[in-house]
Formats: sequence, structure tokens, C-alpha cells
Amino acid sequence: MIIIKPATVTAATLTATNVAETDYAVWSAGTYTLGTRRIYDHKIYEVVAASTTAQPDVGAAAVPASWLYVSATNRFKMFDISVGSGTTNASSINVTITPATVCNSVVLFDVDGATAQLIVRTSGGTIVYNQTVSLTDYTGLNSYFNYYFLPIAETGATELAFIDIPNYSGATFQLIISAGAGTASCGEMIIGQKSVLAVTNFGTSVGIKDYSVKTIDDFGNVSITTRPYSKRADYDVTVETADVGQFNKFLASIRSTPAVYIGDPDRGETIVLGYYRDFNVVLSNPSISECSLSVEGLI
Amino acid sequence: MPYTAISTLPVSPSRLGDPTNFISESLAFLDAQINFASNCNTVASYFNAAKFDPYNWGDLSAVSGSSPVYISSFIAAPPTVPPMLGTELADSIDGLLSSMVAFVPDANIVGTWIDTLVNPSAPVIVDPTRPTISTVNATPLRNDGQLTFESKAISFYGSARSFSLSLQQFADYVATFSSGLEDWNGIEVVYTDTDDWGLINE
Repeated sequence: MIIIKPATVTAATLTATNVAETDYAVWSAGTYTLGTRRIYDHKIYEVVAASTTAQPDVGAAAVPASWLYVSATNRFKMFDISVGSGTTNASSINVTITPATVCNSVVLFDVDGATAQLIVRTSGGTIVYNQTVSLTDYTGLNSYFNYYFLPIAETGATELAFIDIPNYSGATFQLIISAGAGTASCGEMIIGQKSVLAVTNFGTSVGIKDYSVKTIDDFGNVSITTRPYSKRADYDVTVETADVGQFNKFLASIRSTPAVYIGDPDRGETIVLGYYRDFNVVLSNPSISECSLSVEGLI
Repeated sequence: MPYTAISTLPVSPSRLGDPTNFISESLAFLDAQINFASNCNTVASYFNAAKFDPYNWGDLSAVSGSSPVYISSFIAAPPTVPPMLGTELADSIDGLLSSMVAFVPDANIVGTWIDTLVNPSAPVIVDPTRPTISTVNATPLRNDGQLTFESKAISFYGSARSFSLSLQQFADYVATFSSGLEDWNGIEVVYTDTDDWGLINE
């Protein structure tokens, strides 16, 4: 099992992007009326008072609030670590990040396009990693019948992990998601330092939690409001008994912290961004110990 | 009956290369395969029953210009499923369908050339070495169930490849026949021409 603790991506570390930040006008001092939306600190806020002159972040924290935080801007949605929001851009998304810490892993969630290319350059500009991955997943194609009739939409990869990146201090990470004439999108991009802690076993279970709502009116008519979903996983892992102490300490250190949990990098369904709910280690014998780890996904 | 050309197939679909148009193209191709199989079987029946003039043996004039012609684009070997799966399988079927499109004009050139040597009034020749053009099995249909579709697809694509190979073998035979290199051993010429009294002419 691999766990990646995300590095925070801010306007300072997002050193280049082709995604415009024009969702709404940028806030400036003045009077704003109910329903007006403005961008402040790369976040979108909406006025929820009759009128306000407050700065959005201050107004959102005030009681009663005069501003309401809506979401990150389109440019920053792929870095906001939240359910159901993602960055979209016509044809391609091309972003460059220069993290403040050494990072050796990049994981993409809810990514859509034709290809994803990651180029890592040293601080001197030398390319030390360059990998292009097709976002088309054909693992379900197993017959002539499926060749003809398996819907194209079901062949898209949604999670993608680059976890073999060499360690360089001050490196820049350029991600290019190409969609040709279509729209490129990325639900979340996580960049961080990986920790390989255990071996994931068969017996691990994965699933999703759907936030869609079904309502039935007085006449029995059913309507379904489709909402985002998040993944969940119960990992069955094996830890060397000698490493159990370190394993416990690491998990304790990331409690209540969103992180990427990867059961098997080649199985996208075992890649979850979220919090662990609980874990339990059984000291089975002197050499190996069994552990169960439950993770609630954010995406 | 002259040689009946195999109709040109539509654009071959490509799951990997052109997923945007794949659905419409693949269904059109699936339907076109029905006519393709019928055309191939007409060709096989025609040439398997065709007669060639034994007095042309050794007549190199029959093999002139760029003839005998050859098929350069045979129908590709269909993938075996499993073990071939996923992207590899999609790529292989893409290639298979593409090879069928390329095969049709080659087959028609070869078929037209063979047809120039067919002589309906020639005597029947019993030649155990004469190859037979294999027929093409029924195509999978869009309204077939999954299991039926699968078995018919495997059978169809395999027989289509056999057809392409056997057509070239037949062309080779006719070319050899016409250029006088045929081994006479085992070949029996059956004269069917009779006189007014019902006697066979020799």
C-alpha cells in the first residue's frame, strides 16, 4: 500500500496554467448586493446579505455571514480537494507546479481527455521524467461482442497515478491533459511524497458512496437528483511486524488529513483520495501482521 | 456468368484511432459484412466450378503484362479471445477490419484476371491438385445474442481469412496452369463434346 500526503498547491506554487480565471469579476472594495458573485483569493463568494461592503473572506466568517463561499475558481478546482468540483478547459489543461517540498508522486482523479502527460524538470530545466498515458481504459474489452457494443463512454480511465518520479528538490511538474477538439477536465490533481507502508492483499473491498437524492412527491412520482459520489475502500494489508510501530505512527500523523491511498497503482479502483476512518492491526506472528484500514473518499 | 466483383466495404471502424465515429462506423461495417460474405461465396462458387482451356497450357500469352497478379493485402488473422484482451484486442480487431477493406480491391483485381482465363466451353479437367476457394461463414449480426455473436464472429473472421488465402492459392494455380508448368501426372481431361450419334469425340 502506498499513501501520499498531498502538498498544498497555491497561487505561488502554481507557476503556470492555461486555464483562465474569469469565472466572475475579481472583488474590489465597494458595496455588493444580494446574489452578486466575486472572486477573492482564487475562491468564488456570493453575497447572502441585502448588501455588504465586507471583504468576502471576512464576510463569510462573520455572524451573520454576508458572503458565502461557493467554490474554488475553475483554475483551482483541481487543487481544492473536494467532492464534485473539477477544472475544465477546452482542448487541454496545461499546468505547471513548483512545489515547496520534494515530491515524487502525482495522482489524478476524475480525469477526462485523450492523454495525460507529466513532465518533471529539475530546477535547472533538465527533464528527468516524461511520461504520456492514454486515458482510454480497455480492460473491459474481452470479446468481439464487446468490441462492437461496449459503450465508448465506459472506456475512460478516471484515476491515474504517476508514482515512479525521481526525487529532486525544486523540481517543476508540468501536467498536460489533451482532449483534442473536446474538453479536458481534471477533478483533482494531487502532488506529494509517497510512503510505501504495507502490502495490499486480495480481500480488499472498494465501492462508492452516492450523494444523489431520490424524492417522492404526494402523488408517488419519483424524481432523482443526480449528485456527486465519493469512493470508499476497506484495505486488507500486511505489514512486517517490525514495522508496525512506524506504521501506526504514520497513520496517526495523517489522521483527519486528506491523503491518497493506493492499494495497487495498476487498479484505479483501489486509488482513493480521502480520510481513513479507522484502522486495526493484528499482530499475527513475529514476522508479519495483518491490518484492516477503512478509508472514506472525498472524490 | 462473369466474375462478380466483391463490393467495396465502408470505412473500417477504429476503436483506438477514431472513438468519436466508432459507433456509427462499426454498425455500418457490421451490416456491410453480410454482403461481403455473400459476394465472397459467389466468387468461390464461380471459380470452383470454372473451367480452363487445357490447350492454353504453355501459352505464355495468357500471362502477360503485370499478370499474374497477387493479393498484397490478405485478411489478417483474427485474434484469439482470450488470451488477447483489452487494448491489444481492440488494436487487433481494428487491424483485422482494416485489412478486410484493403483486401477487397486486391481480390477484385485477382478475380478479374482469373476470369480472363475462364473458358466455359473447355472440357472438364479432373485435377486433384486444383485448390478450392473456401467459402465464408455467416456473419455476426447486430441483433444476435452475445454468445451467438461471439461464435459467429470467430467463425466468420477465420473463414474470411481462409477465403483470402485460398483465392491467392487458386490464382497461383491458374497462373501455373496457364504458363505450362503444370504437372500432367494425375490430371485427367474429360471430353464432354459428343457427336450427333451420342458418341464422345476425342
